[in-house]
Amino acid sequence: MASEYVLEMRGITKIFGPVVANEDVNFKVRRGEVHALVGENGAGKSTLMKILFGIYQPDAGEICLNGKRAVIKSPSDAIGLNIGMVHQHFMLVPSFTVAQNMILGVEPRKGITLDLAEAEERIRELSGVCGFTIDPEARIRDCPVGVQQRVEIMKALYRGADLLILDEPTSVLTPDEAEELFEIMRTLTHQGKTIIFITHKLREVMKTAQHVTVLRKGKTVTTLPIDETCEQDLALQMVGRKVELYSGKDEVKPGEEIVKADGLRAMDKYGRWCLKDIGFTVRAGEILGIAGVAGNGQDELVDVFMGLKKLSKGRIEIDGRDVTGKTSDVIRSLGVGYIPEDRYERSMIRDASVAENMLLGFERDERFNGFGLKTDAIKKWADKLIHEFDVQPPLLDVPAGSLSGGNAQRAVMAREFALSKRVIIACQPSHGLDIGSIDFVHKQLLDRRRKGYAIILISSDLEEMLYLADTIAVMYKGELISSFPNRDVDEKRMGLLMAGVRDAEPEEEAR
Amino acid sequence: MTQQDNARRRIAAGIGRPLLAIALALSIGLVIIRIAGEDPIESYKALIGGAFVGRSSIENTLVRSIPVIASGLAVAVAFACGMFNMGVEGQLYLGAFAAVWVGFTIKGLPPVLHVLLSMGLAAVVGAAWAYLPAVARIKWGTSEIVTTMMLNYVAQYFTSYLVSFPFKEPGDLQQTPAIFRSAELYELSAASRLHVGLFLVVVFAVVATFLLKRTALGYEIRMTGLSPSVSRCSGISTDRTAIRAMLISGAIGGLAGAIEILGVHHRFINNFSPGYGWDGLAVSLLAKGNPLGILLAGVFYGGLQSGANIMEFATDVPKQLVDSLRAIIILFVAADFTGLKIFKRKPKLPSGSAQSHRKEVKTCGRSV
Ligand SMILES: Nc1ncnc2c1ncn2[C@@H]1O[C@H](COP(=O)(O)OP(=O)(O)OP(=O)(O)O)[C@@H](O)[C@H]1O
Ligand SMILES: [Mg+2]
Repeated sequence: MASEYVLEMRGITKIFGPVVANEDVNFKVRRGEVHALVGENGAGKSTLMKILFGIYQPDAGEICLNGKRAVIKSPSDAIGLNIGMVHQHFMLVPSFTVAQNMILGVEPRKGITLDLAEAEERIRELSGVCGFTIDPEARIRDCPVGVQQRVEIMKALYRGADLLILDEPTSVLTPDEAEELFEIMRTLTHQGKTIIFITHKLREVMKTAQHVTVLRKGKTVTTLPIDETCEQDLALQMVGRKVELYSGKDEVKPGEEIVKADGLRAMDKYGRWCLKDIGFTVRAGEILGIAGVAGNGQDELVDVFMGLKKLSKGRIEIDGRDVTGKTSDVIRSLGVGYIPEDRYERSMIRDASVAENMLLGFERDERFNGFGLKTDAIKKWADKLIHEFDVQPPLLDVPAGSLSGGNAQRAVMAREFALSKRVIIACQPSHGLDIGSIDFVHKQLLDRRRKGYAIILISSDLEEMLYLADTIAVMYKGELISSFPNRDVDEKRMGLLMAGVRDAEPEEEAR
Repeated sequence: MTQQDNARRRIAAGIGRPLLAIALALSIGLVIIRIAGEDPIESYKALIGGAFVGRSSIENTLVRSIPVIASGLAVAVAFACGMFNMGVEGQLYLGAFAAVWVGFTIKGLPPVLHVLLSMGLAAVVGAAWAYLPAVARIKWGTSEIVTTMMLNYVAQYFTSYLVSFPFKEPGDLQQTPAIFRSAELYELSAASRLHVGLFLVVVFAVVATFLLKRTALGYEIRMTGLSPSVSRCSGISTDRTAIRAMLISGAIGGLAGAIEILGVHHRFINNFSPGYGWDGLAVSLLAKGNPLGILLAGVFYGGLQSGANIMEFATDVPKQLVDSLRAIIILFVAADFTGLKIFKRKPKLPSGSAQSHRKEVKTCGRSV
């Protein structure tokens, strides 16, 4: 009997030590639909999908595919059952071409040699089917994130996926790229593919999905057809109470200049100029937003600033101190808080405990280090931080790698806010956070602004940028091509600037 | 309660693995002995009896295990930082020579002071010997695995030269004059030559634990070992930390040599070490770098060695069997080991230099 559902997960329970990640979860997906999966940070979305993809084994419950019971012991089982998953952290080899990445592990052969021509042929064929094109010979490291994501999707399709899991695919995309992704999703579902779509942006749910399932604290709350719900309703279901969003923003009179950058030039890893004569200042109580399509030098700018990358030329001053050429330890010791975009490469050590992670950058602080580390003081302090930022589960001894995406982000933020004295650099601070948490983060940033911090915000989320930033600068190909007070912006002009179209009209200089 | 459970489970796993490896190795040994036509039960009885039964056996075992434990601790400290110090053997030789030199040239010092001075110089020399490869790794990305290993030969041949020519005691043997009594480590038992070095290595293990678990430097060492890129982004100077870890490691390596020579031989004898440094590496692997585990594993290793001699007397099984057993144990432990990220790690720590940044960028960039 062919079931109406491609996928039925029944009574799924998954327990990690003290944490119940999934509890008796029921999840049914119809063929050919986009089914959104939403829930707060740590609600258990990724866990449920990892169970479906064979990364975790459930402690209880069963999975049926096309009405037949399926036992999925490993990702290769899942691929064999035509399930594909695009993880939030892409798994591509940067130095390989698109084609090489695509066939990794399932290489077509001609005799004993690789048949790359055949692979490229199939990629072109798939391109037609999906409604987007990718140059099979392009190297991944040269591709923008949006393209890399398509490669991931195509990689799954190449392996024969009919059921595609996308775990927070839009959090790394610009609004335009997200639109393109939705287009691709539509094309795929028209061809009978089924897509499970995890996101924190409810607008995207309303726009793309036919059904939505809400998880709260590991349990299924409900599954609804999309036309029987709305954003507010979903938010309510997710949180279980009413959330108030976007509180107002105070007027803050900017004070003295705290951060000064002048004539910054640097080269990227391939010896190209990635920063070309960048200058800006940030004043106390000011949030400088740096907008722009990812890959236009924002990462390098932050690296240079944090002392993680050498400047070829230029000068950076923090609080009146010349920090040009200083290494990260010096800059951190000046109290520069840094919320990086890539957690597990920059701010969280997966294999260290949460408590140990909260100590990063503080280990020489006399509050925690006397004759040896003051274990009790550290415990108390870490406990305070994770409670302040409501990190779930509030356990200090679990490895940080076990935290859900959003909770890891909160933990980082708690630490960095505590460390910073006058300066904060926040890169995509709300990536992967649920609406409540985003609001929380925004409040925190605004609170610091009120207290006279100089804040640099790098975000691809236009809405966030317009809400938070006092001054917005647009970065394009390693240059700050324009900078203006927030009130002077309209989205259209910003879009043009981000695409590299310089204004004809005069405006405030970038420095 | 659940957290205690977790801890207990972790400890069980930490002990279980090595025990399993040992059990497997012993059963393979059983088969080998059988095939060789000997009685496995009798052989193992002799082996274990010779290692751990009776006062003199235990004392012999402990004497054997002292330098192995110290070497194991040396390896562990570097390893916690993600550095491979394969050069303990060389540090041990140089440290031993330095200690002996202080022991026989300086006259008239009070005993404790003389010993401390000898050991102090040994630590400095060992640290210096480890400093070279550490700096080469940081500055040019030279694999410290290779350089530390190569420097072993330099150290060993250099001490060979010293003991054969400038510092040779007149006579047929390639050895230095004996050290003064004031430089000798206190002897606990004349028969087995067990000396206070035993307590010293226990103290070292406790200090190493304290260092790694309870000090800021130890924290930085461990975090750098777990994730160099995150550590650097968080403001830990990973270069400096790695060098410090290697310095400490080298110093312990030098002390290992000093303790052995001041405690047992009382003079430098050419090629005196049967590979204590390497045994230290094995022991450190077996104990997964846990200092207290190294104490246990070191005694076990010492036991195998001293038991092997007895077994060879008592039965027809050659003591080389034990060498195979040790190799098999390491093989089994290492099989698990390759899963650790240490082997997948890039051979170079990220550093502030522009060059090393290239490697960093790939991992440190966007989450792509
Ligand atoms: N491997 C693991 N070990 C221990 N606990 C885990 C592990 N994986 C997940 N958890 C816990 O299970 C819970 C659910 O995590 P999960 O990653 O599924 O959340 P999520 O809904 O994807 O959240 P987010 O939106 O923040 O990504 C969290 O409390 C998390 O700490
Ligand atoms: Mg998740």
